Amino acid sequence: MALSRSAPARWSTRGAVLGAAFCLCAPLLMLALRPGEVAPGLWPHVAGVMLPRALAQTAALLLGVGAIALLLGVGAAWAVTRYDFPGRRAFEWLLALPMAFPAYVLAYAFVAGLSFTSPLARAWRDVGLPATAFPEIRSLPGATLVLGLALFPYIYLLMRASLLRHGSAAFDAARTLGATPGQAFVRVVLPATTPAWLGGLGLVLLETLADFGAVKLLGRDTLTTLIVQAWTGLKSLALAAQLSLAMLGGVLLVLFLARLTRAGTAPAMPDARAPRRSALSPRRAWALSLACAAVVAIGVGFPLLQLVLWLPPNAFDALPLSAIRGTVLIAGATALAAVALGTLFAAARRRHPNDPWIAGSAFAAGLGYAVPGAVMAIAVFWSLLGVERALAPAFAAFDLPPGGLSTGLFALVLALLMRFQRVGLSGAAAALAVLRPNLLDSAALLGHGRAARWWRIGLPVLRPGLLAAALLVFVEAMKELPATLMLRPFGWDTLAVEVYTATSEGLWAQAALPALLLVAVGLVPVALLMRERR
Amino acid sequence: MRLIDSTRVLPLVAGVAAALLLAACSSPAGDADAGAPAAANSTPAAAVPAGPLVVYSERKPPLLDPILAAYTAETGVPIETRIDGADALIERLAAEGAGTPADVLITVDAGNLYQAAERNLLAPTSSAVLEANVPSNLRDAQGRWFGLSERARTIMYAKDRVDPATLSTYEALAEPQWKGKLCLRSSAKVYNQSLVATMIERLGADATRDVLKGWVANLAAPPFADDTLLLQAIAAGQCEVGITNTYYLGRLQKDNPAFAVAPFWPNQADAGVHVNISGAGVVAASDRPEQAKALLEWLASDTVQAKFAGLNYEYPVKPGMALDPIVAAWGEFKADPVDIAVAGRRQAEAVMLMNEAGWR
Repeated sequence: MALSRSAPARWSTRGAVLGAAFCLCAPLLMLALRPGEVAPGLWPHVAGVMLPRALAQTAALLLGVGAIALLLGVGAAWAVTRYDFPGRRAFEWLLALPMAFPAYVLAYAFVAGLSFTSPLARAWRDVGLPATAFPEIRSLPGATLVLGLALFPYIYLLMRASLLRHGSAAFDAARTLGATPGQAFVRVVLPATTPAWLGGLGLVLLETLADFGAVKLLGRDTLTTLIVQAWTGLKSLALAAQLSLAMLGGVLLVLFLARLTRAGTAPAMPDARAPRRSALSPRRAWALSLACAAVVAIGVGFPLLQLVLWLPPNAFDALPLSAIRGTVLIAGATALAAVALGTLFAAARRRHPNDPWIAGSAFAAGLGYAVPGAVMAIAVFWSLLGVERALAPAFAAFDLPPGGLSTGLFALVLALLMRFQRVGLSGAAAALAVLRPNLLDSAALLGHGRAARWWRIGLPVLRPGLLAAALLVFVEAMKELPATLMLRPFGWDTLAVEVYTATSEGLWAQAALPALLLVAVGLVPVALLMRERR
Repeated sequence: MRLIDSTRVLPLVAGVAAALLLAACSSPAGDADAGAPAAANSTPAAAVPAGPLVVYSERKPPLLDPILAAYTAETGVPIETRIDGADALIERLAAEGAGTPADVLITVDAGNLYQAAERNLLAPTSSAVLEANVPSNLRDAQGRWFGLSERARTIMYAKDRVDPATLSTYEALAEPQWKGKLCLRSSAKVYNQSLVATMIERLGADATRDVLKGWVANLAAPPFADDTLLLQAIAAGQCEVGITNTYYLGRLQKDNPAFAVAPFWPNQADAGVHVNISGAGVVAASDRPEQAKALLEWLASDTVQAKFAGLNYEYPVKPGMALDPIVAAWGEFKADPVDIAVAGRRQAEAVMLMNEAGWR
C-alpha cells in the first residue's frame, strides 16, 4: 500500500496527466490544424508593409533591451554581492523593485512624465533649452530604456542568487594567479554563472517579445501589436491566427536552441561559504552607491512619484470596485486552477520520476510560459469557436447560449492558465518537496487513516507552499494585459485593462490608482523571491 | 496514497479532449474570417419577455444616461444600458445571435455601424420621422442605422502662432511649409480611418497616399494617443496645427475659455469639412423592434436632438437646431455631403494606405 512508491505509473494516472496537458496544449495545436482563410489582398499588404516593419522593430527592441538588462542585471548583482559600499543592504532590495511594475505601468509613467506638457519638459524650456532637444520617450531608444528598466530584475535576481551560491573562491584564485578583475570576471565568473544570466536573459527576451501594453504606449509596431491589429484593425481573425502560428513556431525554435546550448554549459562549482565582499576606496564606494541610486531613482523613484502625483485628489473615495472585483475573480480562478493542476503534475512526477509520459506532459503543460499572451488569446478564441461550431447542435438542444464558450469567462481563464501553468507547477513541486514521504508513512504506521493523515499532516505542511504558488500565479495573471484585453467577457473589467484603456486615451489621472494598486500587489512576489534567495 | 483520484478526473478530461479533437477535425467551409461566431446556429426567438429595453452603447454613461432617463420619465419604458467598446459590442451581438438581450445598438463612427450592418446584426427599419430628420448621407440606405449627432473632424491651429489665412484644405497640410509643425492622432483610431476613407473616395488612392506621406513627413511629434493630448500639444507649442474632432476642443474650452486653440473649416471651396456621426440601429434579433424604433425616433426628434448633441459639444444631425454656445461660437461651415457609409466600405483600404504612408 502506501509504503511502496516505485511501482510503474498506472494508465489511469498517466491518462489524467496526459489529458490535462493535452487540454492545455490543444488550443495551440488548433492554430496549426485549422489554418482558416484570409481575405484576398490582405497577406500581400501585411507581408509587404506591416511585417517588415514589425520584424525590424521587434529585432531592434530584443537586441537593445537584452543588452540593457544584461548590463544592469549582471552589474547590479556583482556590485551588491562583491563590494561593500554605503547603502548596499538597502540597494540589494531596491534594485529588485522595478519588477513590481508591470512594463505598461512603467511606460505610462515615463510617457506621461516626459510628455511635452509635463512639468519636466516645461522646466526644460523655461531655462531656455531648445524644445526639440528634449528626449522623446515615444521612440525606439525610449522604448528600449523603459523595457530594459522593467525587465532587468529578472537577471539581477537570478544572478545575485547564483553569485551568492558560488562564493568568491574561484574568482580570488584567478586573481592570485595574476588575472585582472576583468579577466577573472569574464573567464571565471561568467562561465560559472551561465545558467543564471542566460536564463534571465531568456526571460527578458520572452517578456519583450510578449509585451503589448508598453510598446503600444511607446508607439512601437512589434509582432505582438501586429497580431492584435490583424484582429481588431484589419478585422481578420484568420490572419491573426496565422501570424500567431508563425510567432509560436519562432518561440518554440528559440526554446529548442536554448536547450541545446544549455547542454554544453560548464558545470557549476558551488562554494558553501558566502562570498567575501571587498572594501573599496571611499571615492569608489560612493561612486557605486551613486550608480545604484541612479538606477533606483529612474526605475522606481521617478515612476512611483509620477503615479502618486497623477492621483486625483479624492482618488480613494472612488475605488475602481468593479475592476478590483474582476481582477480578484479572474486572477483568483486562474491561481486556483494552476495550483490544482500543478499539484496533479508535481505529485505524479514525484511518484513516478522515471515515467517519460508524465515528465513529457508536465513539460508540455508548462510551455505556455513562453507563448505571448496575444498568441494565447488568439489560439484559445480560435479553437473555442471551432468547438462551438462542432457542438452547435448540442448547444441548441440544451438551450445553451451560442458563443458561451468563446466569449465567456472560461476562455480568458483558460488562456491565463495555459500561460502561467508553469508557475503553478514549479510552486507546487516546491511545496511537495517539503512533504517528505516518511512523514505520511510514519503517520500510517501509527495507525492513522488516509483522511486523517492528509488532514493533520499533509495539508498543514503543504499549505504555505501552495499558498505561495497561488500568490505568484495570481500576480502574474493580474498583470497580464493582451489576453485579458482581448478575451475579457462582456462588461468585465480588470485593473490592467483599466490602466490600458485610460492611458491609451491619455487619461493619466484616471489610470494612477489602478496602476498603484497593481504595483502594490506586485511587491508581494518580489518580497517572496528576495526572501527565498537570501 | 494517491493525491488525485484519476478515475474521477479522467472522464472530464477525456470529454474536453474529445470535443477539442472533434472541433479540430471538423473544419467546415467558411471558417469565420471576421471572428463571427455562428450567428446562424441560434435558437428561435423566445416569446416577447417583460423587462427593460436593452441598449448596447459605446457612448459613455455621462453622455447617454441623462437622455435615456428623460425617455423613461416621458414614456414609462425602462431602459438598461451595457457599455463597452464598439468592437466588443459587435462581437458580443454576433456571438449572442438570436439569443441576444439587446434591442438597440448605439455607437460612434459610421465605420462601426457599417460593420454591424454588414454582419447582419442590425434590422432594416423604415420610419418617416427618422427619414425626415436625419439627412440621407448620414444614414444607411436600407435603414439599418441612423446618425443621431454629427461630429466634425477639422483642422485645429494655435491662435497665437498661426494666421488662419495660411490654412486652406486638409491636403494643403502636406505641403512643406508645415514641416515639423503638424500633429496627428494615431492611425489606429477609427476617426482617422474614416477621414482617410472619405479622402480616398474623393481624391483616389494614389493622391490620398501622397497627402498622407506629406502629413507624416510634416509631423512635429509621433502620433498622439488621443485628441485631447493633441490639442494640449498645440496649445503648449509642440506643434502649430493638427486634425481633431471639435468636441474635444469644446470640453477644453468649457474648463478654460482662454484655451488658445481654434478650429479652421477646411475645403470650403470644394468638398467641405469631414463629418462623422454617432448613431444607432435596431438590433436584428431584438424581440421588440417597435419599441426600439420608437426610441430612435425620439432621439431624432426636435426636442431631443439639441440636447443629445449638446451634452458633448457635437452638432445635431437635423439641420436648424439650436447649438451649444461654445459650439455656435466656432461659426458655420459647409460639411462634406458624401454618403458616410463610405467610411465603413473603404475602412480596410484606408488602414492599408495609412500603413503604407508610415502613419503609426
